[in-house]
Amino acid sequence: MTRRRFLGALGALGTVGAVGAAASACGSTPPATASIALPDGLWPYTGPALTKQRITLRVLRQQFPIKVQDQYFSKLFAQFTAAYPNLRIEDQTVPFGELSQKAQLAIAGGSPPDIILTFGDFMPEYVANNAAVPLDGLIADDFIEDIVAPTRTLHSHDGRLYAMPWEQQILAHFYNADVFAKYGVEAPPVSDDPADAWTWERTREAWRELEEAQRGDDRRLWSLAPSIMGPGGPGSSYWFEGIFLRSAGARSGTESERRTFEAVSPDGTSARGYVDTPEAVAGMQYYQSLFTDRLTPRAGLPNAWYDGRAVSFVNADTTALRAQQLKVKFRWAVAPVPAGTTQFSHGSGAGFFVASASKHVPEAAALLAFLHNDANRMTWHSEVRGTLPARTSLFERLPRYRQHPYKLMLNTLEKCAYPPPATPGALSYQYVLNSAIKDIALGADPAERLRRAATKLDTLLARYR
Amino acid sequence: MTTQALRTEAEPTEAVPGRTAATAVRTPRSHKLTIGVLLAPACVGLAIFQLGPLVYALLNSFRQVSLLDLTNSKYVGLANYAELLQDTTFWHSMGNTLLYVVGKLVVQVPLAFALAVLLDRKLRGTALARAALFAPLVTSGAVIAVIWNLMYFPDTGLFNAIIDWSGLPTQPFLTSSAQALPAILLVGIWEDIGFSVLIFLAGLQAVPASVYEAAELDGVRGFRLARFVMLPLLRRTTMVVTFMATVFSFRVFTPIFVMTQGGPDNATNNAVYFMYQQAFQFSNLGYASAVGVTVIVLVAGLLALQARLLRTDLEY
Repeated sequence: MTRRRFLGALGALGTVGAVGAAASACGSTPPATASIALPDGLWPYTGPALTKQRITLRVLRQQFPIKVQDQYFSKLFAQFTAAYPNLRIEDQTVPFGELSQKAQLAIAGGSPPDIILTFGDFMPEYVANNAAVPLDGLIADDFIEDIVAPTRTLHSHDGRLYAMPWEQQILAHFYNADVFAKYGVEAPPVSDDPADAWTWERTREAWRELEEAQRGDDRRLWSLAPSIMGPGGPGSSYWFEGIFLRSAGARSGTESERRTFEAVSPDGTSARGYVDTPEAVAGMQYYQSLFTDRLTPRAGLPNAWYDGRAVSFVNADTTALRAQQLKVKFRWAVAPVPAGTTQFSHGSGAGFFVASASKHVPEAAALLAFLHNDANRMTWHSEVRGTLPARTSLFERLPRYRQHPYKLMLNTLEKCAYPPPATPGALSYQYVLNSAIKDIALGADPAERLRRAATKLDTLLARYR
Repeated sequence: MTTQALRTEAEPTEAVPGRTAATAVRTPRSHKLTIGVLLAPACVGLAIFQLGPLVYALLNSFRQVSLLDLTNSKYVGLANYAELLQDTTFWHSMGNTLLYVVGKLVVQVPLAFALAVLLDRKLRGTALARAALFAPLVTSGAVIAVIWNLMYFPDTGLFNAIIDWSGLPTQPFLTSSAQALPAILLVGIWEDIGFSVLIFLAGLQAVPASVYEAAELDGVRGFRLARFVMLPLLRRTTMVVTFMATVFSFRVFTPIFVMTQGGPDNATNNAVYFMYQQAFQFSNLGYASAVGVTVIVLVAGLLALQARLLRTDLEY
């Protein structure tokens, strides 16, 4: 074959390929394969009929810590595309700490994924910036009403739902019972009633006793494991560390206590007088003492509690299932989250929203509906991840919530879990406070640092006034 | 003065005595066209990916723009710049940037020169030393930052293990306001020094051997040879090394992002990280653009000053 012929053949092959690709991209041909019906149909989807054209739905979500959790998505996506072969799903995953920025950049680029997973705390900002589509009319009303009230509030704006809550999380105090027993230190009470919780002060006493008892040991354990969220270590998660600020306030106390508890002005645009109150400063002084007393490390230690390098772990409810999955080598117990002036846990979680720039809103909403139907949710909550459901009816169908420690988690959710501060500048709010919390952990003066954070926040939130 | 007059007054060049711009061989038109065609893709690329974003950033710096909603921006004139002038965190980050630049130049440039001289002598172990110096150049910045982060770790890091083993108190390298910036600086020097050594080495190898022979005949050796012969001859090379080190220092981001996130208490927050925070943490694209434009102007000014201080007619 001559070179000219070879090049000619190559060109013809390229042209055929390009034409074929263009034809399939135009989506003019309905799929030839027969569809396999979904077991529960598309409930709770109530929108228009789905397109028959070939389209690709892009999903951006966090990479889950355990392989089986990621595989669960692949399985559900395969089921959905088997029923709707004209739909292709492109699943993009990023580490949780990078999810918000990835989403922001994708939205700014003008071609975001159709479906984006975000932490519920940030939903007000996406709504304020018209980045999400309201789901009313696409999702059944009874499904929306079934969502636990604080979570529904978090994912809604002006009475319209903007995100499907995937799961919710609360805090509990997990501890290594063997270590408490070994050193003869009284352990926090194991109970399903949050009211039985120790105070933060009493908890610190026990941690100090543990620290004291280990003097002279070759291998000393940390009394409290550091946060494992985001980048890990101090200042990595307002969702966890923010409770030291807000639990120092009270919902129905003095004006200052009330503002400390609320953490932001009612319109979400002012933080001065909310995050820098005397109560908030006291909360941060307590938090700082955990570092100055060497009860917790100044840097992240992944898996410190699971590996037996730390005694206590104040962390999300998923810790219980994770400990079972990892078959940790010690006896562990769960106590209610310690109480400040108020017993406080942030009760929020991740949720999926449909990007307003999506060209396939009905199909995206239908996929979300399928992911959130009862059967799929039950599997996720009971076998795959162990997080709390976001809907009341699911609690009734999951027997685990009638026994310890899951009953404690449900009670915590109902009695002392509160949504994060609702502000249209939610991302900025948490970045600024995380940075302040980290500085305080590393030795900055709490009063001065919180005052600076409040001033910075007011500057940033002024845009939304 | 006309162009013609300028041409007639043109000085003969050093390279070819008697040749002036006026008598230089003219490039044929067809050659010019070929040159233009060959340069076009690069020029278009530069215009789209370098100049375009710069212009876009300049325009954005006069607006209030949210990263999440670019369609909803409003013109604010010089408000972003006015806010910048009053922003103590910005000036603190600029101070950190300058400290980093100065620290890097003071340590890296002389050290790179000394290492280049040693490598140029082809002593035993030169090949190994050269590989060790150049390895960071081909290593991912993020990987380097993660490894150094582990070595700096407060309780279990390599450095503190050595310090603890020698009976000294362990150090809060990345968690102390006083030590964090020097710790980041050390990473930067370790990472970039190979590049500076490479340029110095090229400069040293371009100096004719006759110069060294003449110096040796005059009894000039060791430090005096370096001070009075090598350094003056390598002035232009030094300028390139200084330029590159300055630009790299202004651009440093990865170790700060991975190791300290600008903390503790803004101790490692530099201009680029501050800009990143405004854009991607606070969704404040207009303000971030104003920071970017200001930093470009400051860097350009600094580079111009360096060029003036280091200018020379000698070239090797």
